[in-house]
Amino acid sequence: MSDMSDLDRQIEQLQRCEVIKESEVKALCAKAREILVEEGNVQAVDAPVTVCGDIHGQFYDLKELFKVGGKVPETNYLFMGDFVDRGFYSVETFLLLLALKVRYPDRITLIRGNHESRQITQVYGFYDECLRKYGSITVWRYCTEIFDYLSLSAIVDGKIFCVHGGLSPSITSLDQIRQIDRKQEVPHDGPMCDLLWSDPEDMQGWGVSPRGAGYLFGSDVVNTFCQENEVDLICRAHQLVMEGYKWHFGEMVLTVWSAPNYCYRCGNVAAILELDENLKRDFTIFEAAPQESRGIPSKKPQPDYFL
Amino acid sequence: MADTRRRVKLYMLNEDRQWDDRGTGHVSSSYVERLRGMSLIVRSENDGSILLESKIEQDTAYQKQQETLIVWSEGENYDLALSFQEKAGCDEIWEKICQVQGKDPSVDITQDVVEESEDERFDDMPDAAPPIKLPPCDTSKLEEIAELFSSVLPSPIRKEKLAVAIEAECYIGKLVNLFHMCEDLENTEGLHHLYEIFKSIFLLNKNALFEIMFSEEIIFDIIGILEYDPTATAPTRHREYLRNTAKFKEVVPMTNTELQTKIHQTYRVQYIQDVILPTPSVFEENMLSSLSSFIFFNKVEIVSMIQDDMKFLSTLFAQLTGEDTDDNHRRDLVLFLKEFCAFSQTLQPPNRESFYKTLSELGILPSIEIILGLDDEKMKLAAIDIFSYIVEFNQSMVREFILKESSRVDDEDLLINLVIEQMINDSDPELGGAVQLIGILRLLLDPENMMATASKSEKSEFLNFFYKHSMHVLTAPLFANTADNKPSRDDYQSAQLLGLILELLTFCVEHHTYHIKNYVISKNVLNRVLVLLKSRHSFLVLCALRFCRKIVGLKEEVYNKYIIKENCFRPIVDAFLANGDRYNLINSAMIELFEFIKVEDIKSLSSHIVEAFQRELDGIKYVKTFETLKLRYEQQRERNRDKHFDSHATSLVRNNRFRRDARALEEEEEIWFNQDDDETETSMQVSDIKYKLDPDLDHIHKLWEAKKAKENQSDVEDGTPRLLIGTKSPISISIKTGSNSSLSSLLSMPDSPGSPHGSPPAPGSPESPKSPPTSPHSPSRLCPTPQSSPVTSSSSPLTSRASGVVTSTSPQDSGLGVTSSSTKSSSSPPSTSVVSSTASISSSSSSSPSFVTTIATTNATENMLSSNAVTTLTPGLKGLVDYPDEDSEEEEEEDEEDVIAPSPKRPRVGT
Repeated sequence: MSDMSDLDRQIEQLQRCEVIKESEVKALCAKAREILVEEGNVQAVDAPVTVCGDIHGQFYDLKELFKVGGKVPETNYLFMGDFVDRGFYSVETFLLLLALKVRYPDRITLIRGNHESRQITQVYGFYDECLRKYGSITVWRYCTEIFDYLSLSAIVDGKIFCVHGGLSPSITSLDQIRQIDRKQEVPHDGPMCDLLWSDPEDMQGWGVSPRGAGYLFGSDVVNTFCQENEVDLICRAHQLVMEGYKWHFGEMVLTVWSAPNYCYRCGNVAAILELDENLKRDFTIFEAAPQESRGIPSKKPQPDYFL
Repeated sequence: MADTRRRVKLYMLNEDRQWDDRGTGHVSSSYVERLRGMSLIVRSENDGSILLESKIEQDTAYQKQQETLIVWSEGENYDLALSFQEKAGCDEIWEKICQVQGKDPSVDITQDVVEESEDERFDDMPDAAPPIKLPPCDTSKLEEIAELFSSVLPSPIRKEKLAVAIEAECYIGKLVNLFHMCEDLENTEGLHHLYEIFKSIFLLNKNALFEIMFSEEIIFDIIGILEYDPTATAPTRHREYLRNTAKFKEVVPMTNTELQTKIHQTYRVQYIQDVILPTPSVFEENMLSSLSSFIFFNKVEIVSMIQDDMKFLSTLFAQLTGEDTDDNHRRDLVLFLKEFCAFSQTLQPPNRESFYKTLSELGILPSIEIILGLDDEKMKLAAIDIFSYIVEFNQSMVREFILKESSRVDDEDLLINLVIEQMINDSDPELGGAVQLIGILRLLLDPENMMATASKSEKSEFLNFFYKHSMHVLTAPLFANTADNKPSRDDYQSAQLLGLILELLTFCVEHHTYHIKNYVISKNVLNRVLVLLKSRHSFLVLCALRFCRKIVGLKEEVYNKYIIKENCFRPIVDAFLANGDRYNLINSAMIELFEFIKVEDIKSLSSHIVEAFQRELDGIKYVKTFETLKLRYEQQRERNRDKHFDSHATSLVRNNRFRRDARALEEEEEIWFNQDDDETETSMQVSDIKYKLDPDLDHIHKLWEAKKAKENQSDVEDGTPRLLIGTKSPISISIKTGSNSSLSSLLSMPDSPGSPHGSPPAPGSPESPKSPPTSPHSPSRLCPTPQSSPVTSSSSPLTSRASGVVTSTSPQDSGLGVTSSSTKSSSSPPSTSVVSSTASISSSSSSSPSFVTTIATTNATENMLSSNAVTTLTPGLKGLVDYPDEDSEEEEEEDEEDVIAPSPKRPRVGT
């Protein structure tokens, strides 16, 4: 049981926005891996659940989210990816979510976003942040390995399909998602890539995505998909919406965005979607936490030098 | 105009900050009456309609990007881009524009756009900005000085002026005197002002000022000033640390005092950058680019000074391997060498080449070999780090050494085998070292970086060697652990190690077609690997499955026959069924494997699966995979019944083929393997397959038997995996609580950073604008970077994370449809650009070359998020590319017939 108290201590520490030791990260990731490996590519989630969009390393805003949405495990959460990059605290943000996952596996679900990738994180900040905060990329390596284990999507009570990006032309049924061997870096194309990269667009059929990955999908595509799979709603994140959430195609597709004042400059509000046991929808809007203090630890100097 | 020279695509930035394609046509410039001026006109090539008619205004800032793009904006939010099919056409139009505006066409931008309010813009006109008058240097004026200094920071021109004034009036010296006074009088307020003043001076980013501040005489005073951070509760004692705690170790006496001074200075400046100055955020890191370049050039000088000192180096190497050397001293020597290599990362490729050549001539590789043979963990780790520097830079050099060595050294003393053993016996419980070593091995075994010359093929030579002398060392833990029907050791560390070995073997399956095939089949490796499906560690189960999947993915009939003959699907089906219908990763990975066989219609395997496992798999209905497999099988059988005669004839022909001289076959084996694939594609009667397989496989086996017998004569050890070290278990991992070597972690930097992370290529759409060209609105030009920045585009992903790298990207992925631009020096519009500082510096002529410069900006347009650009400055950091297979193809430039869209798929950097 000392494991659990260790974990609780780590959670406390992370909640203060303090990083945990490298060896603790390693152990945490090993435990998380055991849990995540048992999850399906479409992870079944029971309502009531609170669905959240992109967080992007905005640690203090994540705490704000928990303030308005309730704590884990009291509230059941589903996070739709993009935990890291851009914000100043990707390390703390991801590790806190991961620690909560390990501590309360049934009360929080994490699915993969397009930023949970080795390639993307090397460009958008997470890599450098790990390097800066730990002095080596070991932690980045542990975390990115865990990314490969994250589920690709979730389904709430069989009715609300949640995914980071959107639909894929290679996927007509949820069973086809089952056939993806997800333990890999997000590929540049194919169904797994599309789920994490696509966007809804006011159009019919499929379009080329300006992002260079994934597709644009129109309302007819959504209709067909929902009918085929008996799904009422597709809930996704991936695109900044100033109001925190946005409906597309009537009420078939919903974008939820949970990073207020994105990148500390966009001026947007954030939202979470609260689904009660009857899947009744309720949105909570929240704003950015007051000015974040920047207590980024500096590197430790190496006392002996030869050159 | 019918020619293609003026053929262009017109793009316009839409509300979502994405570039919309507005059509393709031909551009011309002529006087348009209606607009009363020279204008750009684009006529659609489809219907001749006018796509664009735009007057060339005097004050519009046109930008030329990447030679074939012209970008500008009209009005508030109306950004346009012309993408030319040919550079010549772009140049012509560019000249026209410049002519109208009265500019020299050699510029890349016709106006200096400053995105500020009108008066500030005026302020920034070079002539309009008055010289800055510095207040008298006096304690009473400190607050005023601090305010003045921080007030100039937003304006590049005023920064410039302030720097000039500070230098001209020897102001730094005066401020240092004030510092002494304040510190003596414990004038905290004054000290805090001084801190602010010097923080601003750092942000002026001027090399000339750094030269003054970092001189031996006053550097400690500057560090002293930086101790008094007003936001900190108590001053941090940096001077004390540098004077008392930090120790310079002179392993071999240095006679050159200049060199010594430089070394001290570099350490201290590095300390200022890493420890004292607040960690810059990704948004402002470029502010200190001159500081980075200061360190960078110091390192270059230090390396070349030492490299030229042959006396020093030969003493060093003599002591390094000398028998009388004290172990503590030897350890220091190794650590010195490691730091030396780390510093060398700053060199440009040609200089690094000569650096490693020098080390090689001095016998660096034999030295590493000796050190790895010693029983000193710390030294070994450092030696491995040095080794990985060398391997990363020049794999061929190392391979050549290994090959030469093999003629005179016993297998177990071979450098490569020492490395493998070091990996297997990694004492770090997290296997940090092993992870690093597996990366080194992968680099050495990667055919992509092997040379092929007319006289010899490095690939076949080295792989022949490796499979003969080293493969069994690498696979020893696998064989030791899978002798029975279940893993004999299933602790976490063994599992981790086996996972790493499997990853490398999987890499081999993908890249060493012939050698690994031979090895896998003759040693029945796959069945051994599949024993690991019984591991309680799911990650290892997945590794084992992945290894099998890679083999199946090759779709080679020889492998398929082997799989069938050795009944390799037995353990897979068992594991699959044991997992039940739990929907988890293993379940998905298994289904994916069967699904692949189904989709690719691999007949031999499909039939085998249905014939052997149909009953067991029948119940699985939650996916259609198995039903479809069965259905296909039955249809196939129907069809084949009619073709019986045909296939009988085929089999006769096939059998004839094998009546050949065994030796001839051995040489042609590879050809045979390939041909064989094609032939077996022809559908055979299913029941025939089993019947036919046996003679085929038997034949292959005979070949191997003969070969083995031959090899065993000369090399007794080759046949069976051997135990590595004496009586120790082959997987001996002792637990040690040491932390990972920081370098060990570097090795698995997967994916070349030079690859287009930001935006993976659009499926099937090479033309789509993946990221917009730099918008003319981009205020990045607010902070122009010195044109002399010693950076060019890096072609080698291996170097790009080294020492200093700029990775600038437009955050197309940002998940917003919000666009941004990230620009480097002269506003090139890379969708992702990686700039390696190790690249040419020769072009730098100005006194303040910028080492690393990226600018992150906010787009002027409201709500627009802009990019962040990330700069890595960690010295000596480097990463091996872990997955060279993933991106290599994308580095290839595409020759597009069509007009190229504004943003390239691959990184491009204008210099």
